Amino acid sequence: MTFKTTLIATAVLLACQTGHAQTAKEVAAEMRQMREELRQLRAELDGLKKQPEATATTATAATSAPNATSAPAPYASVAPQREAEAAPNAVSLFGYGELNFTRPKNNIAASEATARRGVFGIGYRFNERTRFVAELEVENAVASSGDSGEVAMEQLYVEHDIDDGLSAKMGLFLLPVGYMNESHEPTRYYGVTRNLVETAIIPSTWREMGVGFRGVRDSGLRWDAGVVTSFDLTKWPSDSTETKESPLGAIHQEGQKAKAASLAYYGALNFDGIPGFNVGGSVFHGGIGQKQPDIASPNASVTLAELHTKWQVGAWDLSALAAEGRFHDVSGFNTANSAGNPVPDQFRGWYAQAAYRLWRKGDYSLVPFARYERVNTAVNYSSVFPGQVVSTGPDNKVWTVGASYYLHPQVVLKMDVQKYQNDSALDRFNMGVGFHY
Amino acid sequence: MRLTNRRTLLQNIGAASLCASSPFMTGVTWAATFMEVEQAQKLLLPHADTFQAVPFAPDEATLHALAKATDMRVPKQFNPKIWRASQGGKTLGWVMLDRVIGKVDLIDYAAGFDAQGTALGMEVLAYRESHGSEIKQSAWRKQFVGKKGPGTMRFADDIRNISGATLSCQHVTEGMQRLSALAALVAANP
Repeated sequence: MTFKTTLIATAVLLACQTGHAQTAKEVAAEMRQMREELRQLRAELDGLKKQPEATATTATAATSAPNATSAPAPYASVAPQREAEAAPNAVSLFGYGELNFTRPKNNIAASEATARRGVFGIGYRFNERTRFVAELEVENAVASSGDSGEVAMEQLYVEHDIDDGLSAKMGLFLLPVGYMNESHEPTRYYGVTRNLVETAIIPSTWREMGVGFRGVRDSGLRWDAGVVTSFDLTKWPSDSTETKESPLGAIHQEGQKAKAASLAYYGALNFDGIPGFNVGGSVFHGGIGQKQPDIASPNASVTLAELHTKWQVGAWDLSALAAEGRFHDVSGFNTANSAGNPVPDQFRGWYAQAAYRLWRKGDYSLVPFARYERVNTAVNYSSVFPGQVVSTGPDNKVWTVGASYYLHPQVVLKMDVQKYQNDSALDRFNMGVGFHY
Repeated sequence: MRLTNRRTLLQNIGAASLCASSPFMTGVTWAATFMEVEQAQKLLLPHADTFQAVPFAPDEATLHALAKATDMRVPKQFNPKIWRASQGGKTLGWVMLDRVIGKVDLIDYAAGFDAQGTALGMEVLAYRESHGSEIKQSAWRKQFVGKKGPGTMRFADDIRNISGATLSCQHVTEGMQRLSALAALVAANP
């Protein structure tokens, strides 16, 4: 055994000391010397660890001398210490929660209070370049066969910094579409519920499985591109309730045994080069037919594009977003779909929002806001089941006016009133509390 | 016997790998730090010929003064490193290395101040999160240049936000406010 170990060590040593022919005796002597040096280094390190106060005092004495400029800067002693400090924080816990109360104006019986979302996140840093992130979400407090709650992995991915300003993620992650999809903590948006456009048209919280790249340039440009899973047309329900709420939300796969015969591609570009100002957009295109032999449109696809801008200046926070989606090659599916809920050609929406920080004292602040939205989840149909009559319906026009009262930048109490101009039955009063950590 | 042999093997390999690491591995760094402290010092105070470490162990009185000046609690982990930057023996200013939590993980950054405590710049040394690395962009960092004292760099009012990087922007701004208050203290008692 001893012979074996000496052989291995000798081989490694010989490999790295090319050009030096050494005998086993010389190697053994060198190793003894190295061990001795290592032992001495350890002893010195232990000594240093025991004397932090003494070192500080000496250094204070050195710097309190007025002309101590000739002393060399001890960078080397600083950097390793900071790396060592970083190690215990490799694990991070984070998450958010939002609890809401809704009371429809004309239907008090439908008032509802729910623990809308509880999200528990965990991150682990393998090293400074590679990390892992997971977020587990519980919607509506209870998930069981008799409840309408949901438990889901909202995110589950590994991210690696390839270079300064270029990173890649792999796994289940949120797409860089709009404002809310990636930053959807309740303290980040105004209103008790998420805005309609980024729920009905952009199916937030929208995640897919795949590979994504992000580059951040010093000029203020940020780009994203990736290949991910897409939607599944076979999930399109025969009842229109769900698809009218969100066409893509009705057929999303969310990394749950996702059909992956057809993939999707996305790209996004944002400009943040002027502090307080952002402008950007994104495009997503993916197959939804998933080459399924049992549907009439195995090559159907969807394209979603959006543009957004935000200007945060002084106490003002102004933003606007417009999104439009188009389904392609769905006529076969529609004409074969006698159940009566055809896939529309187009769905779109936009909003404009203004918020103003009226008051701030320490951590507390009060921010009233107003938002106007126009949304249509089924703009038109190009082909339907013969004889079928489908109404496209007008745009939904919604005013939301309310206020966020921050107890802390990460804890918010919210209140708002929503007025649906096309359907007063949907008018409502909302209250909620949200936080993230 | 077996254990002893295994230990010997490990020691031998350890010794051998020490040898292997020295000539070939020096160019490889595992940390995704964007910048070393020395580079940041040179960028922040390019005319200085000497950066001398100034030991700083915040006592109660200093922490209280910083909290009062910034109107914020000082985080428990607040423990910046300070260097005096000088040229030919004359103090030009200070470089401070600090770290704050962005959203969930630490951001290492360095700030430069002139001898009167006016901010000369800010450099991000390490950013470890998925989102918010836009704070590295020079347009955002430049906002601190020329500002003196925590009251001149209030988040959202004086230092504007980057959408999608709110917590990183806010926490680095708060860190800069603390360092700015500290620079005033150091400048008053050089």
